[in-house]
Amino acid sequence: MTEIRRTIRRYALLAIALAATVPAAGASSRSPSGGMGGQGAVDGAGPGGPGVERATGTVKGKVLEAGTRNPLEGVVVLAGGTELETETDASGAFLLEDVPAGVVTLKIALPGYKGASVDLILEPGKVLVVKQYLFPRADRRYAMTVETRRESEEVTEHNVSIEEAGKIPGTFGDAIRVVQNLPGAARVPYSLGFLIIRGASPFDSGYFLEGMQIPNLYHFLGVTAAINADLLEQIEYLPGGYSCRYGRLMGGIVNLDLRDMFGGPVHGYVDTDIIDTTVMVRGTVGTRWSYAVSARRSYIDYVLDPFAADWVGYEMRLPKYWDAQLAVGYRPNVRTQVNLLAMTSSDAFAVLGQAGSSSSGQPTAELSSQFARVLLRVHTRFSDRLAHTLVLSAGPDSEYYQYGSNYVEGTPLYFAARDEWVAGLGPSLRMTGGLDATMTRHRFDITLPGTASSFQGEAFAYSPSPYLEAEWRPASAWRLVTGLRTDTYFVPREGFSAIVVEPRLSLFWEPGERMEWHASAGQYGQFPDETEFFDDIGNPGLLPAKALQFEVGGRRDLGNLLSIEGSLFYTAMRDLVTEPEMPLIDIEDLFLLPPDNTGPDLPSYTNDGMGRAYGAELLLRRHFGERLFGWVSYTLTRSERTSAPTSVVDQVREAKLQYLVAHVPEEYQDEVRWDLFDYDQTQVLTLVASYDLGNNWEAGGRFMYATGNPITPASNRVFVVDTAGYIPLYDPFAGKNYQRLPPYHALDLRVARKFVFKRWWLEARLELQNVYYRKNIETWYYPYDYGEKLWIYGLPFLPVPGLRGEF
Amino acid sequence: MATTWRLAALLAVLPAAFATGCEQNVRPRSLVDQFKILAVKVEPPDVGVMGRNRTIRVSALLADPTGGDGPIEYAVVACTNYDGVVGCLEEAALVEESDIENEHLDLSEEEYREFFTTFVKRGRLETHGRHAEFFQDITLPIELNALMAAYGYTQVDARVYVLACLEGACPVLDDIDAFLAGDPAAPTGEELLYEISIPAALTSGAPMEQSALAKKSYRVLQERTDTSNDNPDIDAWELVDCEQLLDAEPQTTRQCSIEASIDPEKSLQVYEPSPDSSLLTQEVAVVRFYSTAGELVPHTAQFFTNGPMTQASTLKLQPGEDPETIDLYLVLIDSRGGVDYLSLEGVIGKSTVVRTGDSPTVRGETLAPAGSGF
Repeated sequence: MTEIRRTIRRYALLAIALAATVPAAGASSRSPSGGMGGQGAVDGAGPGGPGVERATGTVKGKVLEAGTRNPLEGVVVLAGGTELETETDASGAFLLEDVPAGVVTLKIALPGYKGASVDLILEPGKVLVVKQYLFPRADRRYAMTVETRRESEEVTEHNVSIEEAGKIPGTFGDAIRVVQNLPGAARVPYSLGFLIIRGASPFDSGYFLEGMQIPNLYHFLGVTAAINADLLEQIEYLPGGYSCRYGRLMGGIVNLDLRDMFGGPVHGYVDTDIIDTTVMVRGTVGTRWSYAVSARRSYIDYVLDPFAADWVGYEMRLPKYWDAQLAVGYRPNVRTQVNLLAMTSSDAFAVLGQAGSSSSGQPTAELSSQFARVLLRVHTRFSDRLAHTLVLSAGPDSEYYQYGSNYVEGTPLYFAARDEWVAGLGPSLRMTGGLDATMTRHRFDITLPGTASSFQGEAFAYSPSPYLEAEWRPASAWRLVTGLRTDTYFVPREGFSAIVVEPRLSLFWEPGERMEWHASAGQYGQFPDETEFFDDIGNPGLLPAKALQFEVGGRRDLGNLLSIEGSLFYTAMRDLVTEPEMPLIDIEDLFLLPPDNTGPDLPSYTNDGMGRAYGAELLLRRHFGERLFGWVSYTLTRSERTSAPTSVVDQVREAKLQYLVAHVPEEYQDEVRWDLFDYDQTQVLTLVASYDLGNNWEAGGRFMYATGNPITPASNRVFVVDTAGYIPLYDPFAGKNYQRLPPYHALDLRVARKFVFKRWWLEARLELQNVYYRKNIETWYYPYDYGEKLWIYGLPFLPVPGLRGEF
Repeated sequence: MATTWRLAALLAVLPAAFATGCEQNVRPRSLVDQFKILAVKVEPPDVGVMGRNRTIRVSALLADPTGGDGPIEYAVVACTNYDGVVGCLEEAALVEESDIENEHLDLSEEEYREFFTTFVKRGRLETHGRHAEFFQDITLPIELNALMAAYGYTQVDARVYVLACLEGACPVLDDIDAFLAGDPAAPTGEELLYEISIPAALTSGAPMEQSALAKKSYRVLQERTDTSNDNPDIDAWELVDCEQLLDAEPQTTRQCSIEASIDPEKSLQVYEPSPDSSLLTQEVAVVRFYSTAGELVPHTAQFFTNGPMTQASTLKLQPGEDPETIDLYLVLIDSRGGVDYLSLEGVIGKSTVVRTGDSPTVRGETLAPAGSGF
């Protein structure tokens, strides 16, 4: 077909050329319509010389980027053989008027793209419409341009573009997983997607969407996020010292901001690998509306189901998940931006029982999780000095975890609102104030391990938290951000109420364009989990936990694309909620008590915990923009906890271990014992690099090293003759977490090739996880008799091919 | 809540799920390859403090597959368990019926030493081989009767701890000896075992591979009315049907069936329940099979009144060229905690005839009953 078209075109061009030569050979007159028909223009000053009537036409069109079909601005378009030249506007459109009729050779050029030369046949007086795709040159990157909404007031903030993040090996192309490679973030077993930031517990850090906390961000196993990263404008990673916009947490924060508008023509893609497939379509409707629809479904359950029972020896409902989002952007005027997001996510996984056993069909372990959210954001910029943002969010959660006869079922319902005003009060002062409020209907049903009782709870919790922040620039190089946030929490039905006043202060000094120093201090509060303060199973008298965070650091640009930044941090935690410790008797002894005796009161949660975490972070980064980008991230941390700020001797005495008092080693005699935090990782080193090899090839790698997590081995065991079971015993002097797992290290590689067509492109990629097959120990367990440690290893060498087609 | 429970559940369930893939590499429950106490028997399983015979005999079966010849040191600690008190040697509660607030008498050191020796027995075996059995007699003080009356109990579920250690492995035994010898530098009796976590104290500083601690429950009644008060009884055992399986060349898998028969009259008694008791009136007995090599499947089997009185387990192992001595252990326990055990020996080679017989067991001797009361 193409050959036929070329032949026709060749003959047509020949005909035009012949026709064009006639006047050139001396024909002084032509019909006004010329040989091609249509109306021509008379240009006395044309190349034909004075008095010669020349036929002209108009050429207009659009220049688009091949593959993405995004309009290209600033493309030079000239008509060959003439001096006519123009440039495309923001919509990629151009217009050339008074183009001499006949064969017209359009030359189209834009730096970074392969130039194009197009032969056209222009009839006099006609308007020729052209649509031309430019193919990027090999060294040209496809960049997703997003707007940055606000100036940051955070002391340590790492922003990674969505496109950059998606190219990091080990993330399976999921941009949101990139935060696990940044300074301050410890490695999570199995890369489950939880946050362990600067020595804080996973429960102390959280994910936010447009400033509203969301319960989960990842599907089970952390393979991928529950929201499509392509809906996002940016991923904001705040390891500590953050402003008073955020609260109710003591650890770090990851905030996801939605893209305002999904501009351009209709775009879409299908991204598939061996685990799941994602489909997304986005576009605009008119000039004010834009939309994006995304859905993802895993099928690893289908793929592995026939083999799972033989593989692990258990009948399983393999992990399956799906999520879907609908995002709408509406810009009624230049000052107002409205965004609506509806999203839902579901995960399910179950172990049914041993393969071939009669128990198959009845889950021995089951995990399922669903949540849905509707989020509305209205941002209005009244003037350059006054802006208002309202965010409303609501939705239900459903979490069900069962193991044997124990289960936890939670079905909370969340409502949240954030109303924020930003006002410039002069050239050097900016005030931000708002109300961050949540209302939650807690509802749960729990059967605790070791008991036959279940507990149900239902109550409404209210948490209005006002905040006010001032950003003052006393001099051009100095910036002071000070704020006050008051986190409140009320659960009337349980008689639980708590208030935490959280002053925060940050100081920035920029001695030059390429350098910035900062220091910050602030208090951060966190309320107990509802299962900890509900009266039936918890302690309504619990206080909120608090953390004082201190940080100093700096950043220096070492060129256009290279920068280095570092921080020293110290966090002191107090009033941490500690788990109830069973008395130093075996749990079964409680059931040996005479029937008329209820036994001792079980202890409840307390605020006896204290913690401290300190360390240093370093980030050397080559920014996204040229062929090579990546970073080296290094974190040195020590995170410790103590559940009773008394000496070891006192602890032993309080635990009724009088005999052992006399045996406390000398080094512990007068010391308060600090145990390592469960996820303390002394060193975490991450090297990330991606290189554009040219010809649409790119390759990247990630190497990670992390100190092994601490563990508490049993020092001995008790054999219970009556049940043939064993009960572990732990060294009362050594405390918790006095041994470590071996260090983790692994290399992941990624290679991708993009095939660009006019209207779409296709990317084929291959991720190689754990290239040198390091047998990393993710966790461990004891067999029935505590006689040895059994290791559970992480992912083996795993090739993960994938395809992405986008139009 | 979601984050808290989600993380807890994931970290608990996922490793368990993943671990199942390696289950075949886990040592089977029937395998005895470490220094372990396999059984503790209290004779009789119930004791009435009003009766004439308030003495219980505690015996234990210890396995040491490495076959060490060195001495074994051990201690037997008897505890009553009332009111959820952690420790077991609270003299006040024992001797003063009105004192139910756990205030303690001001006993002299000598008096406490006597009290202490009532419930804590020390012993030693000069050698032990691959397994050993030792006994201790403990006479419960008559004062327990007053205590139970004060609390209104007709029965108390009590415990006995048995600690066995290679010589020098358990510092607590030296401390107990020093205390009993009146060494002023030794920890006091109160420090030793008074109101403390007995397991923590007994194993303090003792390496797991050289020490073993076991716990056994038994019932202390005010007065026994049942006529039958026997531990269950393994009546007979037999190693039969040893066949050579040729499907695993070049290694030969041998498969033997071990059969255990019980005496139903002793092992499956029907007795009158105590008004306070939640125990079954119809006993069920469970036999557990152990071996020092291979795997016994099933590891446990149950006996019911109307069921067969013989149960079998199959031993699968891959013997080497030379015949291998394998110890087999049977432990029978009934639903009220009565225990019987025995040890056997088999010599199984790749192609040799299986020889079986009673396993030579090093037996300790019981000490004379200590004073019953103070």
